[in-house]
Amino acid sequence: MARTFYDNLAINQDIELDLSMLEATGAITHDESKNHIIATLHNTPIWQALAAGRYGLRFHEANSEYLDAPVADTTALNFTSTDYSLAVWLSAGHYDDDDMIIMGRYSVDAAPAHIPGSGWELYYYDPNNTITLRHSHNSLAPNLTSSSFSRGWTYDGDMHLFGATRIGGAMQHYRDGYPIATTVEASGMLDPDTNVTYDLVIGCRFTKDTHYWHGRLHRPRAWSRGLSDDDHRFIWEMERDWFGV
Amino acid sequence: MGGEGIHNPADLAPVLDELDDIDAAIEVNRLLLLIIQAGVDEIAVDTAAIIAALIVIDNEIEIIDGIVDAILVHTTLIEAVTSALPTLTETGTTITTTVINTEYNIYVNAVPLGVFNPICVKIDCREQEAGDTIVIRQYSQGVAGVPDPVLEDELELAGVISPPKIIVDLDPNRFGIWVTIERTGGVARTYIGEPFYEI
Repeated sequence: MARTFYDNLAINQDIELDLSMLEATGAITHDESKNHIIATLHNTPIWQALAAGRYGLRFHEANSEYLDAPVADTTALNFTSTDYSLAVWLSAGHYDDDDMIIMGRYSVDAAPAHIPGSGWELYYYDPNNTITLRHSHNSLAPNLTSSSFSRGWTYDGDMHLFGATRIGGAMQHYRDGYPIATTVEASGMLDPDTNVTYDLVIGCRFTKDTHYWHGRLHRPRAWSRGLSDDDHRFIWEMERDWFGV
Repeated sequence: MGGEGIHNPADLAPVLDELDDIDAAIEVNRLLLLIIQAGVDEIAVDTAAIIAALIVIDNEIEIIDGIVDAILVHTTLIEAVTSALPTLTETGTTITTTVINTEYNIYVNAVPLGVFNPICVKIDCREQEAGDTIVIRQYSQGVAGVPDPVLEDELELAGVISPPKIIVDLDPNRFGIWVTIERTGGVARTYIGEPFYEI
């Protein structure tokens, strides 16, 4: 019988995280990359059918719902000097918090507990409808962070494909498969400090006590290479039918 | 007779010379006009040939358009076929049978997109020792709706397992599949599961 193989698909080259969320039930979801990361669901985010039968997760901020995976199991996501890329389907909603973490593996130097910043985080900022991808690098003080952001991520109720590609000091965001205007720190994206302490989090702050995601997420992915414009477009074209967009 | 008749003869030689020059110039211009006319005639012929060639090219472009449309149709068909090709995929899970008499999911796909082909689940039972007992069960669901697993098969394994890797072969599925492990005796152990499936 004709078939293809997951690892032979060009788009899956150097994939380090692929939570395809096929289970549709239960308190864990499995990673289809070779890393076999198992993400644990906390406070029961709801499995929700998508337009074409696949399942994603709906998070409610008031219930403090999120996913995490142990730092020891996610070393492949400890991006520092390497190029990397992210992709995730999302539909943002507003509840209370202006800052909502989409996913990250990081710590950030912020009051009151000034923890040395490290790693990378992807978050949504409500007042400006922006999505920001930020690196933390305490070792490069006074440049404690370097960021990139894109605008126009409004609450329209539809699922959108967010993508990002970091190549050196450059960062490009994508919406629904196409590159969009991305503002990058004047210094460029500096290398995050290595993070050996804090878990991979999806839908909450690295301390797991605030900035919960409110809305839907599906199939967060990460690669240890810079995806091209064509790669992001390919993901969009192949998966948009799942969401009727 | 007055004023008529013979006058003093005028010297017409310079005038005649001028007229000869004019004649010569007229002849040159006449020849130049003939040359220009010949050139114009050639251009007219080339223009006609160009117009004829353009008509041919236009017709060929129409043919190419038709071919491109056909290629697009076939490309779409090819893409539909390749998109539908199943992709053999694998994931992994680690289960620790912490609580006795409790079933843990090794592999679950509770609401599949549609008909798909789960291949097998490989379970590493190296940690199991004498006195331990586990039961591996396989469930499936035959109708759409709320997950309602129906037991298909179960296997009890006691003591040290040799060879230590168990392979649970699976069948085509449409509405849901579960493979579980339950410790019914002995000590909690860790089992590594490796499901393979085509989606």
